[in-house]
Amino acid sequence: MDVLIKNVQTAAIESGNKVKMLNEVMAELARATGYKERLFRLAEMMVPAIADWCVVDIAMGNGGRERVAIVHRDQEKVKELRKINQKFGQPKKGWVSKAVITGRVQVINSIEEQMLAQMDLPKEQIERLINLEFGPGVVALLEARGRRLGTLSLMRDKGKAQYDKSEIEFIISLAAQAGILIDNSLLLEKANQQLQEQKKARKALEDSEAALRLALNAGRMGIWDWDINSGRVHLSRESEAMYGFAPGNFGGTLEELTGKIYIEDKGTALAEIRKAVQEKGNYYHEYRVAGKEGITRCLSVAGKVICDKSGVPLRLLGVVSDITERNRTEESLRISERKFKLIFQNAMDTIIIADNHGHILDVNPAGTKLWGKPAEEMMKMRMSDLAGENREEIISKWRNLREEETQVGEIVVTSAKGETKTLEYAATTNILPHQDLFIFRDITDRVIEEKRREHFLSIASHELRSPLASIKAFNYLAKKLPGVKDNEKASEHLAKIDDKVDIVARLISDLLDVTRIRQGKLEMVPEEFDFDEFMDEVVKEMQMTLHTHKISKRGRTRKIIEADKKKITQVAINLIRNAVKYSPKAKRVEIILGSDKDNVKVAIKDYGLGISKADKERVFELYYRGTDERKEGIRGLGVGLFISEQIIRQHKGKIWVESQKNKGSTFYFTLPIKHE
Amino acid sequence: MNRRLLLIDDDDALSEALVLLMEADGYEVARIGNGKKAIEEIKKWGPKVVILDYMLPGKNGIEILKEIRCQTNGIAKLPVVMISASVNVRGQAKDNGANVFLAKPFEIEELVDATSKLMAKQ
Repeated sequence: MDVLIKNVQTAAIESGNKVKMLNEVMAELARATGYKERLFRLAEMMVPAIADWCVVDIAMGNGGRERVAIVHRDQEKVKELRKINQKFGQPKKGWVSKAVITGRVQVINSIEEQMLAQMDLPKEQIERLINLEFGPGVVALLEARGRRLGTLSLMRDKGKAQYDKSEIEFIISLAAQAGILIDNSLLLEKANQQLQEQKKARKALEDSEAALRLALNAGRMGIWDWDINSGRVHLSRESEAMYGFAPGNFGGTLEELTGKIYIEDKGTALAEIRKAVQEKGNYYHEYRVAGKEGITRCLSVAGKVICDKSGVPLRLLGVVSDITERNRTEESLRISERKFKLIFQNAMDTIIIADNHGHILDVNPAGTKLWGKPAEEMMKMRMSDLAGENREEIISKWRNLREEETQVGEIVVTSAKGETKTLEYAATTNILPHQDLFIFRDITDRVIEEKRREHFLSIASHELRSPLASIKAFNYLAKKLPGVKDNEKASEHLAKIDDKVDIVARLISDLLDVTRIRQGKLEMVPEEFDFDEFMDEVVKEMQMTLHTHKISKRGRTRKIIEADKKKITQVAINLIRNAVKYSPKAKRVEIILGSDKDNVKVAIKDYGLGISKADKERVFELYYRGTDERKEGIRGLGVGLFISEQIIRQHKGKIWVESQKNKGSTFYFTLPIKHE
Repeated sequence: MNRRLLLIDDDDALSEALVLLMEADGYEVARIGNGKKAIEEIKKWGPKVVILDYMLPGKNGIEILKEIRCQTNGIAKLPVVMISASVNVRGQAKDNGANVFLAKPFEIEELVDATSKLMAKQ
């Protein structure tokens, strides 16, 4: 009875322990991550509770097995078994194999040498296995959902008790539970793995999409895709924007899309699409759409019809790009080309483009008219041929053309009709690579007119001056007549006539000078002279006829200059006369001479009205008269300072004025010294 | 020594006045109004100074001046006072050996001065 009670109690305790153990095992297994680690933990918990050895094998996908756990308290034994397994592999006819093949639990009572020998194992392996002193054992299957995942082998050391029925059942249920757990974690791991792969794939897709989007953006392109069967149209974000849809606002129909196309372009756009589908070919079209905020955009759409295996069109897939800017640039180029073509065709001047060997490449109608030759004929000529008889002159003139950017000049040419023409030209080299531009203007008429005018002026000048010469001569005679030279009144009158004749002569002379300056024909007759002596003479001469002011002179230059003495006299007299004229209340005019190593310098100083700042800037302009001089009733043509400046400039000197209102002005001029 | 002047000018009024005032100064004055006879007249009259206008019928003053300077006898060095109403003749006159150039209307004193100086150099 006691024994029975004790057995029952033991059984109760044991079964309680087993349940407890099972729970612990499961809790432990749940904590571990990764099924291999879990199986190792399982094996550890088996030793020494119900076994001395615990070995876990799991099935590999390739039909092989992997031994994921070997546990024994004696680490030397663990190492030895691992070495044996490593060296010889697992016995193919052993209990583990049998369990996997039969699907049944294997119970081992003991492991004897002849048993191992029957498994066709090498002698060394048998000996070393026997040395490990295996006792009785159980090999249970790790199973889940009918799949054999591996085995759980438990063994005791040699000489220990065999596993009883309840122990075997416990081990089986333990293996079953563990199998499920392994399966779950395998599933989980697989799921995780799949998830990772999916993530990776999605990331790759996103990356490639981003790259595509970037490329499309850079090329101002978008994608469109028309599923012919469903009629749905997909537009990429970029395409949507180009067609003027707000992001995500495109409904996906072809009607909606084509509704954006300008009505004038819509017909052909649709026809092109139909044609592409019919011909299963490529599609290219450009049209205008009412883009964002209704602003017109030009789109170019290129696509390709994609067919199924039997050749039925499935989709029309393509790219769309915004070519508004390109079109605009092209259009403005077209306009500017048209404009220049018009200028070229209609210019009054001859325009010729030649290569840098002088071969004529293009000539405008004005040119063919001027030379009296058709364009085709002229385009076989060289620039030097244009001169006709004056070929040599033109060649020498244009020899240095390449050294300057633009050359301006005059040439005389003979036309096809034998007419001699004077042409003004501007030659610009390399307006395009290796191309030069020549513009010619026929100034023959102008030259003739100029000559005529010049002739007239010289006659007019002669005709106006000659009588003055006579008047002066007779006046001279009259002054000397007896009865006149002693008559103070009469002498005075005659002197006045002389003065007025001089004024008229000067006015004529000034006007002629202005004309010559404007024609660039003011002639200089240079000579060398002593500048101090020259100024002495000028002042002496001036003083003789000047009774209102005293001209004082100081300073010396001690220099010889080379200049047109008459013209410089004209400048000096003009400046002194101005000084007198603009200082009616003053009594004196000062002349100060000086020089540096390059120039003589003359200052003519008055104590008169002075010049306002505004007038100062302009006193050397032709016909300019100061506001104050007009107010003061001072007369003049406004040409004296202009002529003076031109004369000084032609001598490479400088002329300027310093002035203070109501205090007076000082005019300066310089002239270069004659160096030996 | 003679004090002969030759005045070559087609302007009658001026010539009349010049002849009068030069004679008053003690010169012997001959006057012609056409350029063609200039050299012939110089040879015939033998003046010590020539007053030569530029714009003349027949031959202009510069041409005459050139001819004078090309003569082989003493005439080549004959002092010439060139007078002209065209200022732009001045350069040519100097280049071709005019001793003095006076632009019309000149100061009579200038002409008188120049003439007497040239005469004195003889």
